[in-house]
Amino acid sequence: MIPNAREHGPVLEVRELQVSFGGKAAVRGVSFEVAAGEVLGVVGESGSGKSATALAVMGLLPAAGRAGGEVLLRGEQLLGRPDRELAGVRGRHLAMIFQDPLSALTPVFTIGDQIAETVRIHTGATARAALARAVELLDLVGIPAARARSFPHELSGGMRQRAMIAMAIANDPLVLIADEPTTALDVTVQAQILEVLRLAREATGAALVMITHDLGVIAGCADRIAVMYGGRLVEQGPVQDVFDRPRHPYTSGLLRAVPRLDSARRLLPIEGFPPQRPEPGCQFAPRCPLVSEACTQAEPRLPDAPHSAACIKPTQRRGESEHEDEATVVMKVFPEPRQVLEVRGLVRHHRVNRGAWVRRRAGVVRAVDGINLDVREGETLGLVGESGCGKTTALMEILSLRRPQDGTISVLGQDTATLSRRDRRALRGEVQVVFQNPMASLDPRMPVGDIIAEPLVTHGRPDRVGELLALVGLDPGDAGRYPREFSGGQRQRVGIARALALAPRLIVLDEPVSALDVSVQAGILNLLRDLKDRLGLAYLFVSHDLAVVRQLADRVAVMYLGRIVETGPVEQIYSAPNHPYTQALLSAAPVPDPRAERARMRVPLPGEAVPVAAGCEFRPRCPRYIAFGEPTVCGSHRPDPSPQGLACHFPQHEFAVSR
Amino acid sequence: MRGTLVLARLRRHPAALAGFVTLTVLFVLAFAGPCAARWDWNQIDFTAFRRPPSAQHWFGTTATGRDVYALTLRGMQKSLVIGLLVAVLSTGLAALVGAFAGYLGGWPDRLLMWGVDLLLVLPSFLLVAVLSPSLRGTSWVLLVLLLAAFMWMVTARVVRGLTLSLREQEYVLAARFVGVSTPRIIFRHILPNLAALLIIDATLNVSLAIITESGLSYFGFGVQPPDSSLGTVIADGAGAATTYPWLFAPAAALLVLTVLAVNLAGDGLRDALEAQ
Repeated sequence: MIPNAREHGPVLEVRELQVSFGGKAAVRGVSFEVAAGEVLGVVGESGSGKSATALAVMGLLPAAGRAGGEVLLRGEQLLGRPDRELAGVRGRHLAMIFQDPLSALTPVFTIGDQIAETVRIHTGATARAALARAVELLDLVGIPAARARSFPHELSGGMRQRAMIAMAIANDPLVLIADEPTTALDVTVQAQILEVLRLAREATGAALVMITHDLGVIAGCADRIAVMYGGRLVEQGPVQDVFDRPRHPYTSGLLRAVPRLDSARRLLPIEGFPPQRPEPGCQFAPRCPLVSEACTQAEPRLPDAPHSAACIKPTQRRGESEHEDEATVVMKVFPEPRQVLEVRGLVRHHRVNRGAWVRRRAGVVRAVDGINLDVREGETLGLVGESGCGKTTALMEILSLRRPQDGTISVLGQDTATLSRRDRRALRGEVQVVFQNPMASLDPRMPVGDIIAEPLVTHGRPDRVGELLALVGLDPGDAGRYPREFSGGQRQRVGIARALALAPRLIVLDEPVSALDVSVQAGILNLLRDLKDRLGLAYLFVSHDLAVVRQLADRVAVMYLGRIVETGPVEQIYSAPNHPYTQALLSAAPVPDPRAERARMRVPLPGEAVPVAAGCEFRPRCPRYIAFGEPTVCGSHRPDPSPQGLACHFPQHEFAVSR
Repeated sequence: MRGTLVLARLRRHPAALAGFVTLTVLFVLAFAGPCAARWDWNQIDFTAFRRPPSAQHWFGTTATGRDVYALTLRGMQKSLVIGLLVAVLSTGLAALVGAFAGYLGGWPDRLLMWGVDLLLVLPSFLLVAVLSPSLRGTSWVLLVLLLAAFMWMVTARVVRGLTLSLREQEYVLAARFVGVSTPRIIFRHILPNLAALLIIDATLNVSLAIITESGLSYFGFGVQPPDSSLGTVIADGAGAATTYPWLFAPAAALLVLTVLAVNLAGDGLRDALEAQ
């Protein structure tokens, strides 16, 4: 169908797209176009309407969704066509890459068969030819031919996303739509997938619409960028221009709110919350620092220009330069910083048992395999690692305040192995935790006042719920409201208030901002920083996001498969990482600056974290191992951390990553 | 704080209010209603056999000349108390056993679930039938206990399964790391989050208990004549339901009304416990 109706000009044009769900508008008049071979980055926070836009373009809106406006593929309208006709376009000319490849692939067919099916449906190729093509495609995205017979659950997340991409490009589509394609992946895998996407685009010459919340990813791969807010585009333009000279206050706010690898500058959150439903006037007006009377009168339109913003007084200045003054970090000097937490050789192995009747030992997962951690009073230790590296297991071991399988945990000088019941209970008041998911960490059946009061009641302390709510920047009058009445950021504040209730000395932060939008995340990070300064707290801050850790940490420990591979002061780790894994992590993490991002030298990291039987765990992926001619010591001995905190047989002394 | 909020919400819930009011009215009717009648439930009017409703006998009389109004209300007393008690007992037991087994894990879990499985495979109806002759003449409380003892197992298993996932929730972990004791975590965090299931289970159990009791009574094991329950009244009258509807209709209507009221009240309670 859709032949070469028009050879030149944009491949995909979206004009005045409207999407609503049950009468509630999600997208209100979005227009953009992409040319062949071009990458358009669509940025927006949750609820901005970016996914609804993608689904409407694909014709995949759920039954309750209604779309209006025009979606033109090579000049032909797609909206309103019957599903049967659209099915001939989807997968052929228009292909989509979803966020979660596990649910986007059918679990009961091999990936080879699934890709072959896509080929056969649209080209009518024979089964044999289609399978051959599938293998060819898998090869292109870096999956060995033998894995074509694997089922989706047998592949890792990164491999599944590669398979998704292979399926999407199977028929040389005109347009690829990728909806948060790397959000569920670790940063080193994300770098691989972005590379595969680039290859796929080059091989097919397709236009790519890349939808994401991650400004760093956009900075690295997009040609043009469109910023969505409240169901509309608020700014669009060439990526360099937008990052350098954002014109819409929301875009510049976003750029100031995003944490960066290369600076610990205090973040400037955007106050308030995204609109729940369209308001009259500019959607951003309630949160805008430059708001004026005229802003609430009429909703500004996005002018038709190469770089334009939907704002009545578009700013021309740089997004960065004006608020650089608060870089001064107050360093509190404690007479003799006490050791709050001391972990030595902590081990946590999980036995894996097989068999329903006779339980046989099938193996051991070394979740935490002898780690040392030190946190001193008033200090933040950042524990960084990718998913599955054992950082959460380590946290749970520390928080349980019990005797570990091996090694010792001391909190405020007390060894947890020797604690009596009563002492352990008393010590719980000194170590508290803030969890990752603000939805799951608060009991949905309890008013927040009761949630915050629980630690106080348990330990028989006086009620100071109101004071705690005020401390985290919430209204003490909200104590009677339930968690679901709060936004994600506010809920996280409630979680922090609960952690502070017993006036602990150490707070364990388990990915406290990774579930939050950028504009909200900045506020929480600032709150944590202020609380630390005011109350002299120590933090053990666990995150997979290096830029976020940079914001808060004084020292950093990098964890890989149950071991700490490198520890050091934050400046040293970020400017002169020594362990090859730290180097790879830092180089894979995207920086929200197109110029810097494109100029960076990457240390590519192949594969994914897989435990090895003996020797250095990182060996299978280690560039240094290959460069040094695969030395035998790496295969036979696990490197122990040096006094400087580096666990590598071949430390590099005069090495600095060029970034 | 939660308590007052729930009560306030319950008061604003029209269906719940209707349910609770109806239940109260039914209780008042069952226990105070007989005083208004001219006939006692165990009196026999030898001048009126199988008469339709009249000013003398408001709901008519049975074949043996007993007043249907008095009989039905007497049955209501038994059925209401049995139904509600059995439901509360069996759901409560299910919640406790399931939540503790799921939360504690390890050997308490295995032991409790072993007990549950054992009770599940016992033919409960037969067992009650075998046991009831030896209960003859003792209090109806034993019947309640017996009925409750055989109704909680499936729910306990469901509760255990849900608890297994709830105990990994971060808010439960947070409570544990604060030092909240195990029973307190179960009563404050686990059970309230299972409220929807437990309330639905309890409302279903009310009707199930009333019906099981009538089934038992019908076979002569439950409430024994001359005493009556809604079950015995319905069982006695059901055979002649088309020819002498008054023998059967009032009791059936009251049974339906009771179950309906319990359901409404339960729905309201669930909505009130669940934050909007």
